[in-house]
Amino acid sequence: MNNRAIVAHKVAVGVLWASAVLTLGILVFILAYILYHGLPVLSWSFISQSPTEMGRSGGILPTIVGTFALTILALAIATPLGVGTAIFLTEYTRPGPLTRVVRFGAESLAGVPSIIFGLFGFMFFVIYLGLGWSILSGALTLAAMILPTIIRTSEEAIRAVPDSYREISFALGGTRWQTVTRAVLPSALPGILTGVMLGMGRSIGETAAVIFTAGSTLRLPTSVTDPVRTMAVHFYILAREGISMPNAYGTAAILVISILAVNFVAYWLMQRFIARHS
Amino acid sequence: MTNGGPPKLAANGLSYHYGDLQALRNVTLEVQPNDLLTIMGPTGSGKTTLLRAFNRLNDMLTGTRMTGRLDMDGLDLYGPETDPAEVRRRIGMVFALPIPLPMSIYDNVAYGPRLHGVTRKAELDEVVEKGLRDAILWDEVKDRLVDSALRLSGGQQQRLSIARVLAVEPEVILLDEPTSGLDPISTLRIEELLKQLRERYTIVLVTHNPQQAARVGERVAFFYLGELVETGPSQRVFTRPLDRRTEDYISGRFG
Repeated sequence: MNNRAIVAHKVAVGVLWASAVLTLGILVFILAYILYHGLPVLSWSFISQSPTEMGRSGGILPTIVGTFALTILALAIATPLGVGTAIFLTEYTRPGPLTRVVRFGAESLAGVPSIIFGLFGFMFFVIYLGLGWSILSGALTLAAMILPTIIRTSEEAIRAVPDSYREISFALGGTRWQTVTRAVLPSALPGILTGVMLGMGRSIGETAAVIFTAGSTLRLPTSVTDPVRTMAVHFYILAREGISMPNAYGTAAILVISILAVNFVAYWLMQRFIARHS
Repeated sequence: MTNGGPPKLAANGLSYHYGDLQALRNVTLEVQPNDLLTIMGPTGSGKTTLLRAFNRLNDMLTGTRMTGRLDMDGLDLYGPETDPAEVRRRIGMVFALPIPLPMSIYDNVAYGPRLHGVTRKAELDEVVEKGLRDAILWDEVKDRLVDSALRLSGGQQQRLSIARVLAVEPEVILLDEPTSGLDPISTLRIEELLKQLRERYTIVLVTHNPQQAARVGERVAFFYLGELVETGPSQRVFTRPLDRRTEDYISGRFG
């Protein structure tokens, strides 16, 4: 009996270790594989010049600009909407049919494949609203796609803030809005940021929804009404149409490095914020 | 004591229900200006409910029902013209557990004044220092105002909670078992502090500890199962209680 318990414990530890190592191993392998094939292509001209011959040669500057423009605009639209909805659901309504419907809607949307959002964006933003293939159409579509994630994570983060903070603020004569902005949101910010980062990750790597709504032109965009090609789409087209595998890997390497860099910066900012607020 | 004016706080025929549970039964009680009233009673006697009703903190809850009237200076606290946020500013509340907001010592005390529109640094510095001095915390923290308030000891955190309330210059301070989580020395410091503060504020202290009521209160009220059993000068209540239940409680037969 006792021996069996010890054996079970050892097996469990072994299995848990193995899963952790395997997970980390797969991640490292993918990263290493992409960087191994992509890094040799990288140079200053690769990121500072426009592509020529459909991307067979030249750089990928327009796709870098396109990726960041699309992602930043999508986050700028989805973050206030998502956080606002979360605040409304948690602080301004009592639990009831309305909150259940909104929450159910958000959860259902979170599970919809991105291509469906692409199709919707194409029909609604590109055609019906006449925005054409553009950064704006793409960003609106991506915003709709990541909104449920931001709502869910923000809602959980806000709910996790102890009620005692709210009571202290109310008891000092704070209004609900003052209480939300000064006592609740600062404590919920790390959790909210997690949701925003998840949304950013999905936007930056999205292809299907983007091709439908932002197009795939290789011209450098000059306004939000211009079409763009993102790095993920560029990578997909280069590989899919056999234009240039080395440049595809180079693009993938830049994409991966960008995502890592943004995550590191966000994490660093968060640590600084937490250090000041605890 | 009274100068003929209305009492600072008054409850008139107050009953309070949480769903089916009746927490207060027809309570009528007056607190005169600069009075230090101690409300004692065992757990579940409705003491906390009374405080939260005065400070309108139970507004947030669902399924509650209140009948009767609560007044401050003769004005209906639940009247249609009354602004709950203004009520809460004038009636400060210190909670049972010392909970700092997750920010610096300075920002904790400045939280209230900032809510009410104080933004000038010099002015904030002044209210923060005054609040901390009045709460007898200044000397211990003056060199580390930017440190997180979470690093203070429990007793210091509770005095910080009091400083936070004093900084909005309330007229009444309600304290809900403020020493229940503290060691005896910290408890004594808070009790001393209350005696000093009563010169400038009307204070209502809730405690489940009759010894504390005997030490601090000038006037005590005994609550039992939502009912105000008796009230009077502390001396009289502790030596010659009128009600059998009061006698049982202060002699430690239950509670």
